[in-house]
Amino acid sequence: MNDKKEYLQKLSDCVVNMEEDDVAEVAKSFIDAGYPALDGVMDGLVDGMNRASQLFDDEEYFVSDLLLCSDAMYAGLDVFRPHIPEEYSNKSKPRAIIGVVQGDTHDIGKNLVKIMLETAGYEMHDLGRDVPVEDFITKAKEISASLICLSTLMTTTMTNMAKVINRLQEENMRDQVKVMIGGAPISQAFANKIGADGYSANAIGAVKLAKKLAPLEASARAS
Amino acid sequence: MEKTVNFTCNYNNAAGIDPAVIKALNLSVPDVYWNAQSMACLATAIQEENNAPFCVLPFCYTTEAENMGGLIICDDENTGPRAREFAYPTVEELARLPDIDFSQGRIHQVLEACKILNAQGKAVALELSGPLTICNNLTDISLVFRAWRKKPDLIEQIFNHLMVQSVVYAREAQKVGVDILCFADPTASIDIIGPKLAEAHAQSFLIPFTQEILPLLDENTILQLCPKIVNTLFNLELADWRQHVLAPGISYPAACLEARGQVKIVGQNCIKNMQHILRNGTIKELRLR
Repeated sequence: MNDKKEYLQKLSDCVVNMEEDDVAEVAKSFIDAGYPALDGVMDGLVDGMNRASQLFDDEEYFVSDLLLCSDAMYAGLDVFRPHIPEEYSNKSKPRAIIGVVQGDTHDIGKNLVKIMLETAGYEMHDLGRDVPVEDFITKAKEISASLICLSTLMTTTMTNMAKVINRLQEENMRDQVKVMIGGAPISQAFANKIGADGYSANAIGAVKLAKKLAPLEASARAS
Repeated sequence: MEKTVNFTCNYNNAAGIDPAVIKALNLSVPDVYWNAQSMACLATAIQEENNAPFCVLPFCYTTEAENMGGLIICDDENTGPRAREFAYPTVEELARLPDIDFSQGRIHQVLEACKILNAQGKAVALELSGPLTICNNLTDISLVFRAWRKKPDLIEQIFNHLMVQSVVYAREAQKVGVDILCFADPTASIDIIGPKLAEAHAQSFLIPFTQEILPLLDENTILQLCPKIVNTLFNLELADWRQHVLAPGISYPAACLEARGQVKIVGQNCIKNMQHILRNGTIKELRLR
């Protein structure tokens, strides 16, 4: 394999086919062949993750599949990361916080959204599950977050989403921090009611919404 | 072959008990989750409030996991018991889970509460949690999903252990007079794990569990499977329905009690849907192929 396109296709295929063990080797060969690491990431690994996302949207892949695809993607990223030029590594990414609100420990969907947003180019800070309201605020201040993603699967914990928004208002942070929400009992009507900036029904939609609420910088990468 | 409709769960979207109900009974949290007498009192109040034909216990999905080392907190009257932290950081450790000790912990209190209610002449439905739901209370479920692909033998070993625990739990439940054994594994919903893993779940746990439970099911005890589980079985063509006609206008929960003796396994609707009236009084018996 000595053609750049072939390498990129192989990297992409490794992600889609969940080949975590092979992807690192392909990534290393890509670097050894002299091709730019950033191209390997964006046109290889991220391309594969996007293909996997489409399969998920088509209900051919499921949550467990996407987790394994992301393992392959991260394995490749670990090889490429040291070779990415500093000006791109340090390129400002929107900082987003994600977590399951207090009282709820269902985090499968949240984990998926985190992976998708990271793939899309966001710097994700995952607070985990059963996260107290105040922890979202504290973290938002600490990292100057521009986006908070709240998740819950339970009707009894939905009110905590409103509390996060109210606390942001009390701290005069509401204009700087957008809030998007999701989860099985959540709806656009509920998002409107509590003053959230957006609601997404699934992980794919979450990426589109995030790009609308906290746009990524235009890519400066040479084509 | 008749297929079920894909079932959207409403009741898993709630947790905890209405604090007003707890307060009105002069009960408190975490006592209602730890004390058999308080549990029985609360379960009765909820039954009366819902106009239900039986009491439902426990009030959470964490008792099995807690007994096997899960780190469960019960501090919040709004949300109920939950695992905030992971007791087992690796899946390999789940292969060394202890047996459930039914003589202690909250699971013992749950069984005692069932005994109290049975002695009071009340019908009782006991909810048993499936392996993925139990694992979700013990470790990061992502690790289980990954291991399921890469180390399927390990997961099979874990599922086998949990299956044995569930069978023993069902036997203990029958001893204290439980009328309906309700089995659910919401984390194993086919739309989360996909058909391949759903089939593995069915073959490694659900079917062996059901076969072990069958001899227990008689005129006193019936097995109710969560409709999401039933949906999986039908999607995989592992089950059929057989219809039984009962009295017209009967609710599904009442029918589950009524059908004991002639039907062993049901699952056409959620057991918590207390007001659902069966069409033409017909309850469907699930038969594994």
